[in-house]
Amino acid sequence: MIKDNEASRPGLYDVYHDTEGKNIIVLQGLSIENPQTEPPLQQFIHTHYRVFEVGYWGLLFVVSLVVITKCIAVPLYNKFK
Amino acid sequence: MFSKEIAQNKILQWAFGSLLLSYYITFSGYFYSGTMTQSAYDSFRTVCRPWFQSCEQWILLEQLPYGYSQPTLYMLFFGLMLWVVYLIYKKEWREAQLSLIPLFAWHFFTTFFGTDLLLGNYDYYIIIFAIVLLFLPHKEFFLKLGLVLFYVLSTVSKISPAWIEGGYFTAMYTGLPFFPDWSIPLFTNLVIVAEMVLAWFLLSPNKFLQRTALVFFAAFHFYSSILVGYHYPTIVFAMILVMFGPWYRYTAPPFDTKSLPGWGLIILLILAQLSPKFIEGDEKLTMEGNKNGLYMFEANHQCISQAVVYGKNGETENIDMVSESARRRCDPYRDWFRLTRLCAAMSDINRISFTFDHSLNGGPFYRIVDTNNICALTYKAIGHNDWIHTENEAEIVGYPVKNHYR
Repeated sequence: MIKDNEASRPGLYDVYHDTEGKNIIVLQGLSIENPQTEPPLQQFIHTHYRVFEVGYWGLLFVVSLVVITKCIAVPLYNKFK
Repeated sequence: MFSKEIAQNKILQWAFGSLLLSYYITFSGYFYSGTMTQSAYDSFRTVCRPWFQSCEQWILLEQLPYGYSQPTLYMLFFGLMLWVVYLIYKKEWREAQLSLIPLFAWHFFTTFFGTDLLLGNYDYYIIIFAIVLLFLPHKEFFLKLGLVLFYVLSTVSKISPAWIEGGYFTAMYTGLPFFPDWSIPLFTNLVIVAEMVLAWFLLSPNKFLQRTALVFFAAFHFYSSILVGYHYPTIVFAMILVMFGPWYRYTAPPFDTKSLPGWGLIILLILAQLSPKFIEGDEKLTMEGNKNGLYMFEANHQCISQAVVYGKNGETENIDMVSESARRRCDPYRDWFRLTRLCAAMSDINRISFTFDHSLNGGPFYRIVDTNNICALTYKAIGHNDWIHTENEAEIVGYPVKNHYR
């Protein structure tokens, strides 16, 4: 990591360049000693994120459908039939 | 006001007490806040809600050391709370309901129209509890359904990398309290599933399922309070215990004409929670519509805002800010509000250039605003503002290190 003194703003944030040349921005009060690392499970989910996202929307839809059918539609049908 | 329901129902009587406690803890915070005062507006510290951008015209209060109208008002409210306690003691429920209306009205005004700076998720809970307990019939059912729906609706904002990948917590120095980083996605996904599915069993006539759900959510509230503190569980968990605790009994859904306002309120809640999904871009990044529904722990935010004020005399001045914690929501609207007010108040300002960089859950900083003159821009409360760039349009300017929760 090489600190970029020109891009840094003392008292606000510091800018470092990593080995790939990416800008690492360290806000005031934070520390470069703790670079971001993703645990393996998080990496796996990150790779398959779309599957999880669609799965959760599907689950929410199915649960809503079951609740509406069982708790609203069926009692309403029984009431008015 | 359907006072008889409360008079004949011990559960509702305790719920009423819980609501009163919620107002006490909320107004305790308001008492010391200086964000809804004339001096706050004069010093560009206040921010109005996006749909009521002229709120300053309604600000009549002043806080010490500049005045004492605000503490006086809150002491009047404190007296009213004591009066309500006395009415509860006398079991005069209709009078107690009527006496609580000024507290409801002031809290409702503050939440939706007074300021953008005092709002928390728990304010939405209080408003729904109050509407049901003060105005609607079938109070017990709609309080129970409302509580369960809050869990379920909160998952709409949790279907995101913050919770599915656990990014909210892995992007913090302190991670998730007591648990190693590798296990974070297990717990965040457990919470999503529990709030989406298990929460419904709080309403179940099956005692085992109902109690299992209650124990899970009790543990969840105690654990999460390590981070969020007393305020949220006092408002929410007290009501959970009253409605789903030892006195729990199954309440069948009502379908008479009197139940229509209650069902209308439930539909309104669902629509409000889904509304940000109809606005272009990720609402957690642009923050457009993010607070229309529940937004608890929706993303771990880091941001940098940099403004350069150009005077008509050729001088410049920098106004820079960085976020100090994951909880600060990093809403460019707030900077827009303050800077445009500054332009309007200072005739010697020529223009203000402004950039806003926003990172979510340890991801890249996106430059979501980059303008030569923010004073020339307007902010639409409903829909997308073209000057706020979405994740597809914004340039990446850097990457953050880990963040703090507070």
